[in-house]
Formats: sequence, structure tokens, C-alpha cells
Amino acid sequence: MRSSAYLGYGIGIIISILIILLLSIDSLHSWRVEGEFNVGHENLSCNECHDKATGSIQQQIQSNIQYLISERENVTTFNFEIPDNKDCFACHERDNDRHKVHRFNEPKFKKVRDKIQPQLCVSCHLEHNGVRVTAELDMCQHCHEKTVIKDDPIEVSHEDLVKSKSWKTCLGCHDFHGNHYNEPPTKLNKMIPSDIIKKYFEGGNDPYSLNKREKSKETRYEN
Amino acid sequence: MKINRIDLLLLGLFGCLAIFLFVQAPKPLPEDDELKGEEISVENLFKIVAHENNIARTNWTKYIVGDGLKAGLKFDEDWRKNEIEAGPLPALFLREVASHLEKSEIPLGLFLGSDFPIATVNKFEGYQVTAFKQIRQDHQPQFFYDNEVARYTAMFPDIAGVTACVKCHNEHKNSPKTDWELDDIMGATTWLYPKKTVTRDELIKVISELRSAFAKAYVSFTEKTSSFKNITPPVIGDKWPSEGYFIPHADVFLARFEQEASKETLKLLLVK
Repeated sequence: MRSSAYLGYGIGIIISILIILLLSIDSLHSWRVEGEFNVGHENLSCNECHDKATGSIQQQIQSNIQYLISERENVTTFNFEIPDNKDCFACHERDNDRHKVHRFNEPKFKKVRDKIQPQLCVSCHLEHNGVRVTAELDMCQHCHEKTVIKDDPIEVSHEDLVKSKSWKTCLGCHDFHGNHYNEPPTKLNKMIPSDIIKKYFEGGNDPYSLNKREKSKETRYEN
Repeated sequence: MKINRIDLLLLGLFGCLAIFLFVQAPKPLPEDDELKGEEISVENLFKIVAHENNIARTNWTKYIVGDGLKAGLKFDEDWRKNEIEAGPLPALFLREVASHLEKSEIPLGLFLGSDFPIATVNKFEGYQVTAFKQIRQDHQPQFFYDNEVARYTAMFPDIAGVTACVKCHNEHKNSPKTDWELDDIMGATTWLYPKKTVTRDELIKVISELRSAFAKAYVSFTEKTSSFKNITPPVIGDKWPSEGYFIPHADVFLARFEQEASKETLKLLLVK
């Protein structure tokens, strides 16, 4: 190999090491994230959602090399764990939730799980997107296609709304998690228009109510 | 072959890396499923959790809801709402337990369903309909592997144990069936677990987490009664609703449960 090639490799290695060192500085954590924090999470540090993975870095590298040479069955998570529902519950656990995610693990929801994975918080609230909700406005269609209400109090029955596939109207009256103190209107002209809901999903003002049943924790580490 | 300084440097670097990773390396991380020991069938696990759940729910239904209603306590399907001053109905107590299980470290799933549920979301679909028909016929639990969810599954009959169950379901405005009778099979509890066998340590952890879920569900109730503003909160102590406007402290409720459940649980735990 020519000396200029060695020089190239050397410079590459040095630059790589410098980048890694820069990225490991805590005050520069925003350089490491995949994208903008979601609304309400702007001031969180990485360890609010990402638990430290088991073992030291040395053990993790060792385990993954063992995995590569088939000396180990499973891949070892490196540095930080991938967040799961429990990490979300650490701040957002709500006993009143009308759509508790774990209920979607029930066998009957198999088809819905295959389509939108509602059993995972991140399916609707994918982090690092700079918004509040990443789901579609018409998501209710996946479970409520047979909804019929006895003595339905609204001017256009739920059954008719379902028949006409007016799925974007659902969230105009009902907030998904039921965490707002608001009485669903009985008249369609009182419902929240879907463009306002869309803006709320994107991080805009809360159109349901500012009065919430349960408030989120500011940090998972508070008592 | 000629070896120059750069080659030597690279060899040295890889050598140091190998020493760092393998020679000087700390103890290797254990595999996730490295728990070893005598293997117990998941069917036995299901029998134990179903037995424990049966005792906890029966005690809740008979001694808290049944006697509590006579003593003046209230129970409501919307009990979680701040404006409703009431405790959870039996099916909702089970749902509380299921929620706490979901938040625990064990992969045990619990659901309640029926062919005539009050809430349509609890209506059985697919293979659960077939399994439940069999339960109605022979009153025996069903065990199978569910390919769709990749979980070992058990369904146990859920029987109307006290008149409060029958009365509430027959009188509820959304009930699709209004002629329930005492001792009818009103539905089934469905349990899910991902492994075919467990070690005894794993099984004990499952029992421990399940009991912890019962405790947390019960504490949710006592905390709710303490927040009552418009009605007098019941006295929490060592007395039961059968003795008046009282509810037992969580420790008292659990002590009674443990006394009634543990003998059979131990018997099942010793089965190979």
C-alpha cells in the first residue's frame, strides 16, 4: 500500500475518533438525536426515555462480537436500551386512560396490531418528530367499524357515522385517552373541526380542554 | 513478506483491542434466557394464576362488593372518574389487576371476555368463540397455543358467584342478555404467556408479581375511598363491610386472600 493511502486511513481514523468524542459530550446531546424532540419533551435529557443498557461498554462489545461469531444467541443492546411502554408510563401513567395500550395485546386485536400496532405508545407518539401525535386522524376505523350505541344521544347516530366512514369526526368529540374534562357534544356543529385536531397533533393548542384529569410528570426521576 | 511500521502499528492496535475485549474483559453478560432449573409446564403456571385470581376476585366480589353494597358502599363502572365516588365492580377489579400485571416485569397477559358482554369491546372473536363454546359445554378450562399472537393461552370459566353479578348484568341498560342466573358461566378469563415451560424461580416470580398486582388494585380502591368528598369515606382498618360501613386495610384484605389461596397454590407449585 502506498504511503498516501496510509495517510488517508490515518486521517479518517483521527476524524472518526474526534466525531465520536464530540458526540459523547453530554452538553452536545442534541447532536446525537434522530430529530427534533416531540412537543412537551423539548427539555428532556436522553436518560429520561433511554435506560442504560445492561453491563459496561466493554461487556456489550464483547457480547456482540460473540454474537457475530455465533457464540451467543441474542444481540446485546449497546449503550442505551430502546424505549418501551414502561418508559412512557414513568411520566404518563394514567389510570383513567380509556384506551390503555396493553388491552391491544388481547388476541382479538391481532389484525389491528398488524396494521397500526396500537399496543405500543410509540406507534402514535413516535419521538424525534417535533410533533405531539404521529398517528392519522382516522385511526379509530381499525377497531370501531361495528360501533352501535343504544339510545344514541347525538344528532347523527354513531352507526350512521360509521356507515358513511366519517372516521375523521371521532376525535372531534372524543379525545383518545380521555384525559380531558370535556363533555362530548351531541351536535355535529359543536364538534372540533378535523383541521384543528390535525394542528393539535402537530403540536398546536389543545382544543379539548386545558383542564386535565391527570397531569404528566415533568421528569421520571421526581418523587 | 516485508512488514513495515504501519503494519506493526495496526497489528499492535488489534492486539490491544483483543486483550481489552477478551483477555482483560469482565464477566460476560448472561443470556436473557439463561435461567436454569427444573422446567414446569406453562399449563401448570396457568392453573396457579387462575386459582389465585379466582380467590382474589371471589373475595372482592363477595366480601367487598356484595357485603359493601348492603353496608352502603357504592361500586360503579365509571369509578375511576373523579366525580364518581365509588369502587370498581368485579370485572373492573380484574382489569385493574391486568393493568398492573402489564406494568410488571413478567410477560403474563390477563383479559376478561364473554359472548354476552356489557361492553362490546369485551366480546370474544375468532378462535376464542370456539374455545368458549367448549367451556360452556364441559365447564373445563381450555389450553392451546395461539399462533396468531405466538403465545401459550388458557381460558378459564368466569362464574357468577354472587347475586350482585347477576343483578347488575341483568339490569344494566347495555346488557345484551338479561336472564343470567347464579352459577352461570358469564365469561372467561384469558391468560397468555410466551414460553412453553418455566423454571420454579420464574413461576415464583409470576406468583409474586400477580399478588403484587392484587395489592395495587386493592390499594387503588382504598385510595379512591379516601378521596370521597360528598359521601363519608368508609373507615379503613381491620373490619370488613359485613360488620358495617368499613373496609379492610390492604394488608388485612391480602392476609385473608393468602390464607385462602396459599394451600392450593403450594399444592400446584409442587406438581412436576
